[in-house]
Formats: sequence, C-alpha cells, structure tokens
Amino acid sequence: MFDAIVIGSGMSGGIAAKELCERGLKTLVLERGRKLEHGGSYTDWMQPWDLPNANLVPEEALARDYQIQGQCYAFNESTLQYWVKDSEHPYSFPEDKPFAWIRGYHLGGRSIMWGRQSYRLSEMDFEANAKDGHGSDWPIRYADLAPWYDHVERFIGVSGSPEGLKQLPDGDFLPPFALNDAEVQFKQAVEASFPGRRVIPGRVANLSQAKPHHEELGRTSCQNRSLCERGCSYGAYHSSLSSSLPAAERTGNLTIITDAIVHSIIYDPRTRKATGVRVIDANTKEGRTYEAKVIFGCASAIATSQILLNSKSEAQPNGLANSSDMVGRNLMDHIYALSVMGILPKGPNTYYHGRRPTGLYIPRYRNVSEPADFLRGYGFQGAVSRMGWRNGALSQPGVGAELKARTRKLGPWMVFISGFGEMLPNPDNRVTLHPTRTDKWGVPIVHIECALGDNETKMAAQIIEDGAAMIKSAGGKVMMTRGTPGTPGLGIHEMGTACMGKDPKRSVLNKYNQAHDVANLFITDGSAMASSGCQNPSLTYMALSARAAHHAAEFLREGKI
Amino acid sequence: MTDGLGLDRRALLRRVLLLAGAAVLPGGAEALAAAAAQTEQRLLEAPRYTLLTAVADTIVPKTDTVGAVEVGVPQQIDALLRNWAAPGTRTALIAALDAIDASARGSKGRGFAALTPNERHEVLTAHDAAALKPPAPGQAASPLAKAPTVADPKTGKLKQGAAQGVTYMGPPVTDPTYAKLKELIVVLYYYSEPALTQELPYEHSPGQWNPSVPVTPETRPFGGAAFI
Repeated sequence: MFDAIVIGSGMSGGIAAKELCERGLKTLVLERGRKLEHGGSYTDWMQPWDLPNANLVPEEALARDYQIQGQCYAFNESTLQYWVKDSEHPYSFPEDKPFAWIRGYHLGGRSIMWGRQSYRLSEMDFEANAKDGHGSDWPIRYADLAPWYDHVERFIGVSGSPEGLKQLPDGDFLPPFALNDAEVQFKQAVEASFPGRRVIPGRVANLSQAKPHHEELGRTSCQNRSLCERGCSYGAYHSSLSSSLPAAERTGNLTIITDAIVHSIIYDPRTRKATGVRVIDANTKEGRTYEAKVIFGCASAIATSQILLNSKSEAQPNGLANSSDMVGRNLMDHIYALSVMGILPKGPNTYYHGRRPTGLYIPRYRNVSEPADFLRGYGFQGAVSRMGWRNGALSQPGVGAELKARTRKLGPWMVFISGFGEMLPNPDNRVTLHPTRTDKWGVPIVHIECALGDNETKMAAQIIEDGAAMIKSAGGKVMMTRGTPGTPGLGIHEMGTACMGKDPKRSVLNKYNQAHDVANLFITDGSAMASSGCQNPSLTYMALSARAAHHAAEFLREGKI
Repeated sequence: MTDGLGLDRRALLRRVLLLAGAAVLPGGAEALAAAAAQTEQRLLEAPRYTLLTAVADTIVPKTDTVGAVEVGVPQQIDALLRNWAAPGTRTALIAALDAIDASARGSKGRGFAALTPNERHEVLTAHDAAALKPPAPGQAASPLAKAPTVADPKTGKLKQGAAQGVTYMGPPVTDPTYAKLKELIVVLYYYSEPALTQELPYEHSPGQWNPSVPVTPETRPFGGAAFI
C-alpha cells in the first residue's frame, strides 16, 4: 500500500512525484516503458562522424515501424531509441482525419525529447472560455497558478528575459540566451513597423547559469551544444531523469516501477474512491495491482483518456470520472508548422559562437493589441541564423575544389519563423476506445478523431500573412512559405481530454485537478487543460501538477480524501 | 538499435573502420586501386565500387585538405546502400552512379574511372549541371522524389513510408537521385573528423553562447549535423 501512485513518469508525473515525495508521501511511479539511465542511456556523446548512417533511419524500418513517429522533427538515428514503434503501439483514426500521436515509452517519457520552450499562460488565457463561450470555463485564474509557476520555474530553471507583457507574464528567470545581431536588427524592424508586437529571446528550460539547487541534483550549466533531444549528460535542461525524479528519489519516499502498463484504475463504489490500479507487465504480460490512498493521472492526455475510459465499472459505466461524458473530448493540439523563411540581404557583418538551445519568440498580439477575424491568437517561434555549410555546399551545381571553396564561405542571414496557434476546444475532437481492436497486451486501442475548424483555418492564413510581412519589414526576401497546417498531433501538445471546470456536468476535474466524481483521483497532465492558449504548455502542466500535489497532500492530512 | 551500449560499439567500430580506410586510401590512382582491392563485406562489386570512389573523389577531391576518398566516404556510401537504403532507393542510387559512367563513355569514349582527374572533373561538372537544372514541366517524378515505398510485412501491400527529415532543402531538380547521391557524399565528407578539423570548425561542446562575433576574412561557417 502506497500513499500515492503516479501514472506516468514524464513532464507531469516527474513533478507530481517530486512534490508528493517532498510532502512525505510514499509514492509509486508507474512507467509503461523501459528504464533509462540519466547520462548512460544518452547519445549526446556522438560526434558528427559517430552518427550511424549519417543520422538517417534505415528506410525500411522507417516505413515499417515509424510511419507516424518519423514525421516528428526530432526523429533521427541518434534519437531513435526514444520513439515508440508505431507497429507495436497502434491506434486508429478516420482516413480523412489523420492524427499524429508522437510518443516515447521509457522512464522520463517525452521530457527527454521535449522542445523545452517554457511560457506562462496569462489572465487572458484563463478567461478565454468564459468570454467567448467555447469549452469549459477554467475554475482557476492566473493568480491561482502564479505562485506555482514561480515554484516550478525556480526548480527546473527557465532562461528568459522579463518583458512586462500582460499576455505573457514574466517569471523567475535565469539570464536569457541573448538574441544575435541579426535578431536584434529583426526585432527593431518588427517592433518599429508593428507597434504592440515584440521579438524576445525564447524562454527555455535550459540552465544558462546553474544555481546551487540545480547543482545539488548534479545539473550543470548549458554547454550550448544543441544536442538536447539526444538527452543531456550535463543535465542542463530539465527532464524527469535529470531533475524531478532525482529530487523525488532523495526524499527516500520514491519507488519507480518500469515496464508497467496501467490497464485501468480500480474504483470502490462503497467509498466512492479509487483504491489502486491494475497493471500489465510489459514483458511477461502478467497482471497485478497496486494500491494507494491517492492516484495521480500523468500518462499524457490521450493515454489518460484511454485509462479512464477503460476503467468502466457497474458504478461508472461510461468510464471512470466520466459522468460528464467529457473524458476524451475537447482534444486540442497547437496549430503547427505554419512557417515562413526568408533571407536578410542587409544583415550585420557578424557571426555568433555556440549553438544555443533556443531562438526568438514573438508573443501573441492578435486579439491583444491588434484585431482579428478569428478568436484567440498565436505566437511565433524562430531564429535568424547564418545559412549553414550544407546550403553552401549543395544549393548550387558545381563539384570539386570549387565546392570545397564555397562551403568555407559564411552563409547569408536567414530568418525562419513558425506560428503556434490556439485551437478551440471542440467536444467533437475526441478520443474513444476502439470497439474491437486491442493491442498486444489486450488493452483496447484508442481511436482519435480530431480536425481543425473554421477558426483555425482563418488563423492559419493570418499566420502566414503576418510572418511574411514581418520578414519584409526587416528588409527580408521571403524564400519559402508553408501555409498548410501540420497534421494535428505534430505540435506534440495534445491536451484537453479531461478538462478542468466549475460545472461537474460539463467538466471532469475541479479547481484542484481533482476528479469531480472520484475524490482521490487527480489528473495533472495535458488532459486537464480547459483551453490551450498558444503557449507551449509543459510549464503549465508542471505548475498544475505541483499545485495539485500540494492540495492532495493537504486533503489527505485533513482526512478529506 | 535500442541501447546505448549497442550504439557505442557500432560507432566505435565505425570509427576504427574509418581510420583504417583513411590509412590505406591515399588520393589519386593508388586510392582507386586500393579501394578496388578491398572487397570484403561490400555490396558494390569492384567495377562499381571503383566508379563510386572516382565519383566521390571528383565531387570532393583532395586539395590542400583531405578529400572524400581519404576520409572513407566510398566505404560509408556502400554501407548506406546496405544498411540504410530500401531496395528501390539502392537500385536508384546505383543507377545514378551508372549514369555518370554513361556520361563519360558518351563524351570521352571511356568509363568514368578510367579518365584522368581533369577529364573526370570536366565530365562530372557537365553531368552535375544538367542533373541539378530545374525539372522540365511534366517530368515524371524520380523514385527518390518521395518517401520510399515498401511492402507491409503483414499484408504484403505496398505502402509509402513516412517522410523522413529532409537532408537537403533545395529546389526541385531534374535528377533528384543524382542530387541525393551527391548530397550523401558531401554530407558524409563534412561529417568526418578530418573535414571537421581541416575544412570547417566544429566544437562538440562550445561552452558559451556568444551572440555577436566579428566576421574576419578567416571566418568559416561552423560544421556539424545541423540541417540548414
């Protein structure tokens, strides 16, 4: 019998485990994937000449096993060990509504490969559903989460610049990774041409300057290698392996079990509480159960829906915590991959040194300082950088000594910006259990139906128009645009499928991330999000996880759950 | 490959082979002869391997710095044909090599590998220019213009593979298969330790981020595995 079970060891589960353990709770973390060792399992040591197959994944394996994962930007031979085989972990979607579910099943989950961009939601984001009527009104506002953002930022270490923007609140930052000269030039042009728009250094969970509490966990400052997705032996970015699980472990209260696939949560109708979880051993396929006083769902949005829907019982026939019928609904991702690229012919005659782990960010301005013919808005991520050797060598014909000579020349400045747009919560974008298909462990696979709507389509067109206009404002020449949104899921920000809300009839979780229907069940992964904002969401998942862990521990102490 | 140890072993082996390759393959005619003599575990039979070696040597020749042959690119291309390429890609890349040989026979009356370095440069420059021209309107797509097609192991049905991260962000060209072959040769060269010592600066661990560094006549772009 444990005090707490945390399902999932990724971004949310790592923080939930740390916070529960630090409050004295004997905590079991269940991870469906295999164990990874911080440092020892990583591939960041590989020099370019060590990369197997020039970092290309063998074509037949790619087509056979990685049809979906192969679409992810960070997928290559050096990161191959971190992606699931789609052939082993199937799910389904309608042919005309593809959804790319990008996954990593191992200790630490996607916190190993995440993009590390870390932005707070703002008051505007927490009010959005109430104001325009889409989705469930958040039961919390910015002030409720602000101290938990502080708490998490301090612990994980976020590098960024204070900017005083109401739509993107400042945090407790380490020094920013400064903009390079061409980015400063781009910033000046954009901010002069478009009052209200700002170009700022990307806020990122990499330690620009490790503090003593980071070093205590064995983490050191970022070496500017930009090999993050391979795992960082320096522990310079926050992940469950480098940061939250070691912090949980040092309390003496943590137990981790890997290769443990959660089949369902056990519910006792007499006490109206969850009593534990049913687990299938990933290797032997044997079933067993674990019991605890409180359960945290941190398996990621789609997987948590799968577990809840698969936990149906006589007392909860629609799936656990699903009297509202909202479990699995309102699936959101960010509108992704809408990009504009251009050359800045009059860039500065300078270069930079090092490969910083972030770039620039343009916070939302639509429906903030500028109107729009759609609801909500988007931000841009990007960078201005010198086009690299590859372009020098290959962008024009010619072989021999001439090719070598031109590859030695510094490339022109290239600006690349890509929009991340807010998707409206829509109950028809939905995760259900497949009526007949099961995986090799006998668990019903998920069926995902998710499509962009009119609001998203209008937003996508404006993203491209604005991106091109900003590049032109800096004297840039647009070379390439990608105006078709990426397949939903490729933003890897899936969320919303067990939304928080004030009304138990229209939402799954209350203001403490506690299930309306099951008092000792807390869900703190992306499922909980009542709206998506346009900001990268991991920081919010972590803040919600820490806050919920605090309340769960209080409720236990007070005998309320 | 799913564990760090396995990767470690394979990479170490690769490094040893690369060093061995560099030791036995000096530039020019000797390199070609030595390359042809080494046949163990090779996919390409001797004449084609010699052709590949001559092509790699012509795309990135030895100058004041090492060339593609000295750093072991032909061995690595052969390994990619075995370990990375699906059958369709393999056939297409070999055909692209053969097409270079055909160009040489057409203009010089001899196979590409039999030409002098100057003749090879002349033939490949023309072949390269023609292959990398924008495609003619209505031109049929090359097998490499899209993701590889493979058979589903369960159903036997042919399926298109997932798109892999592009390695060359360039405009469409007349002969994408040649473009891919050239790209692989060039990328393997610039990923090599000698090229990242002699041609382009590379630091695995730069340490600091310095956002502003003056450009001097000696400034070269940093090498490494970045895509753009």
